[in-house]
Amino acid sequence: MQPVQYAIDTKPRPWTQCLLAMQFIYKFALLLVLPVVLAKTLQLNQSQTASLLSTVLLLSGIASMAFANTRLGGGYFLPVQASIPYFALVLYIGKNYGLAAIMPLVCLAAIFQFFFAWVLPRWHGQLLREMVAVMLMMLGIWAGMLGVDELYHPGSLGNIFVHGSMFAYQHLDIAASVPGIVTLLIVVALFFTRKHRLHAILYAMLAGSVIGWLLHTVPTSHGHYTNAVTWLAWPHLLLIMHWQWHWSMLVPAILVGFIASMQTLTLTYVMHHRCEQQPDQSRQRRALFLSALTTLVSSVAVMPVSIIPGSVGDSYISNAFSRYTGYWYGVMMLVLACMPKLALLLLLIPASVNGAAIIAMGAMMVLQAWHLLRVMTLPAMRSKVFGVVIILAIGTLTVESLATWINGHLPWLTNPAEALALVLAGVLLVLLYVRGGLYD
Amino acid sequence: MTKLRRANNLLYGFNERPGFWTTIVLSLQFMLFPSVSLVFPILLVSHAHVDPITAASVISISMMVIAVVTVWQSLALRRGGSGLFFSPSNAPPYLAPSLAAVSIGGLPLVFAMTMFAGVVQIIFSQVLRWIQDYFPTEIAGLVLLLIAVELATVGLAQYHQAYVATHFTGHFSGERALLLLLPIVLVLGLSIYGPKLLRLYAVVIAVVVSYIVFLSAGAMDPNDWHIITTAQWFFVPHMSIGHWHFDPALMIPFALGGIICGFKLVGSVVAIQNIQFEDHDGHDPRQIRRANMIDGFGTLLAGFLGSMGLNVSSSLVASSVAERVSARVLAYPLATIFFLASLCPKFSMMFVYLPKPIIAGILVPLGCSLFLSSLKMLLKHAKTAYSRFTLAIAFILGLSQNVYPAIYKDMPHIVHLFAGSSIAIAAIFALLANALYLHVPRKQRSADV
Repeated sequence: MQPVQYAIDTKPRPWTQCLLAMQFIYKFALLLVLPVVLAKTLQLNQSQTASLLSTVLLLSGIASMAFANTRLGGGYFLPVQASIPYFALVLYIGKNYGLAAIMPLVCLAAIFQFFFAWVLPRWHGQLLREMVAVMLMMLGIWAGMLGVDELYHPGSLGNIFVHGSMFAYQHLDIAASVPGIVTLLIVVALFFTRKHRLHAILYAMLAGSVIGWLLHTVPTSHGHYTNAVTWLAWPHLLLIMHWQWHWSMLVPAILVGFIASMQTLTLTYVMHHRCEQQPDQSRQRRALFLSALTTLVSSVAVMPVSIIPGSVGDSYISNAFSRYTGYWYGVMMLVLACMPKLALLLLLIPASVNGAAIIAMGAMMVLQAWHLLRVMTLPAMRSKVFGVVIILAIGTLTVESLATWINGHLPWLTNPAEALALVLAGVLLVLLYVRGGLYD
Repeated sequence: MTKLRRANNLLYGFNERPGFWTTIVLSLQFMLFPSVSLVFPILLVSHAHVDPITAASVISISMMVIAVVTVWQSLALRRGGSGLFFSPSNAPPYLAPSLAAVSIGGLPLVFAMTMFAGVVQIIFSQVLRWIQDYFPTEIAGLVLLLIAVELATVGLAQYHQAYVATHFTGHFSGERALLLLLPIVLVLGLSIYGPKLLRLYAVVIAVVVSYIVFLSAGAMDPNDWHIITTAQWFFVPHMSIGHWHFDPALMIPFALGGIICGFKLVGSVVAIQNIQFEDHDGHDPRQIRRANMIDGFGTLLAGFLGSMGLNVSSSLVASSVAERVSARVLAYPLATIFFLASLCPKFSMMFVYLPKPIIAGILVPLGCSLFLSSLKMLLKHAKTAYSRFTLAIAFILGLSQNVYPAIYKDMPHIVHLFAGSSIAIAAIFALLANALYLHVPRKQRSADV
């Protein structure tokens, strides 16, 4: 396989690190809409919303830098932002049980993440690689579908999560899709050359943004938030210190904690794999512990923060995995925490441009999952099992009635297909082990 | 030229002959797959509101043409065939244009446009050799990957329809849940966890057992059962030769249908060729051309006699690949069964009106096994980082058509013509990306994988 341009412990030139970090900031700025949507759903006032955003940015910046440090977080580039796996859970709890119910349940999930941090790295071998591949594939497919929706149906990203369904479709906007289509074509074209591949996403998104601004396809739905904040402000935290407990959400919280842990393990595993290194279990354990700590600390702030699962897709496209980028990313997030208006202005990136970048990111994750699965040498019985798992998981996205049914019954999961794939794979592999055909 | 070695895990190759009873059982098993798609002409005639004789004739003619084309494909290359065990079935790419045609001009329009689509596919089969570089083998893998997803999607949708039907009629219970899950549990259980002998016949065992259980439990749809029991034992179909009407406005959708079927067939042929030999890289273009041409003639013949367009049965190919069975001698008993069934409506109705859970139990496992075998083909032939990346994007875009059909339906008419199916979207993107790559000077390309 083509060697990576910057491996995990390689230190690129400062300007390269800076540009890479900017690429990730620009690419994942759209996740700031999640706390905005949450605030809207929980009916927080503008001041509380501003505090929520500030808290998310501050904690994300600190956590990202901690992950980059080998002693604290294992030494990986794992950018942190508003948590995708926890978003649907927090939204569901907030809507149905109130603000005060969020903290204790997310705390509990974080505690279980500590447990998973101790257990999961002990798991190694072919089965771990295959499970990681399944997880990565479902993440990539989910991201890809999100990207297509944003590409053709530009709107607030959070609407996807609020409606809880992939089929939240209102209308097609061809004119607004043009910047996105151009962005996707530029990413593909820049992928040709090794030189420009490093910053392909950034260049493509900037070009698409310029076209979007010229065509007046900039989203305005969050304009009132942008107007309400200032350019400069000290970060101020939104802390909710009163709490209520609800036993009915115990299992969902633990499951979401497990998924968040598995995502961290997946990302660290694939980074080692891509850099042609054996997974370092002690580093992975530190990353998992830090991930649990990040969730625990951010649980008091309503919107937990966690690593961005799709970030590895962008790392694959740019072929750069250097952990030093994490420091620059963290610093930039802290700057955004002190410049709230600038942070919200990043939400003005045309949605179709974001969509195109997400499609490219999702496609790369799917591709790497295919590599990881090693279908050429997969034993026949496990091959059948994984075929069943993947197809049934994809089927929960492609069959509208099934997707609606699942989203209706599991509204607290951001990506039910991913969870289904994990559970199904686990069950079928256990049955195969009992039958004695796990390695046939 | 290095002689290719027979693949170790191949059960029956092109020119091999299974035992007599194995041939019969395998033929019955393989018959199930094209039979499922006979639901398409049933949909067509229900939209056409024609008399029962005409309706039954359309279905019977489909089966006759399936029999003829199956035998023709199986003939050796030197005898005018392609040497492949391929059975066609009524093709999904033709369903939407056929339904549109029947609402505009009735069955005569459907038949004429179907003949046109057949001609397009025949021409496509002959020009493919000049555009081969623009249609590399890995795109065939991509096409099959999306077919696998479509098979599973249709199967799971059948399950959900069956669940809803029992739930809303108030008959849903634990017993019904067991009935719903029985076919798929049997197929998956036997094919993954069963003894080696039963794995080969998993589908036919599951169908027979499930059908018996459904009949015993009274779980068949009463309307479907009434149709089966009142169907005639013997019937000569009425052929609509000469009753045609051509409309230029429908040329593009039917032409696209023909081209998509052509692409799909290429992927299917390559999949079958690849299971024959160890380390087989590439494909036999002459066999592909011939198979494509025969497939096109099948559609032409279907339109000529009075039925819907045909294309190689994806589910049969998936089963062949999964079971590593490609003996072309199986074509003869299979064709005989189809021909006799075409004259016996009662027998054919038993397959047309298979209970939905049984259809799902066939399609979903097939989609599962085809997915990984297509992935193997795709990764084996896609040698560069760029081609793999663009194929992955094409896969995402193609899959999105299944997830967001409403978005694609709302597209401008000219785009919708090319974006009417997941395979079309993915194939067009992959072809364009590949064409772009071919025109970039080598020194400007990134280092390959």
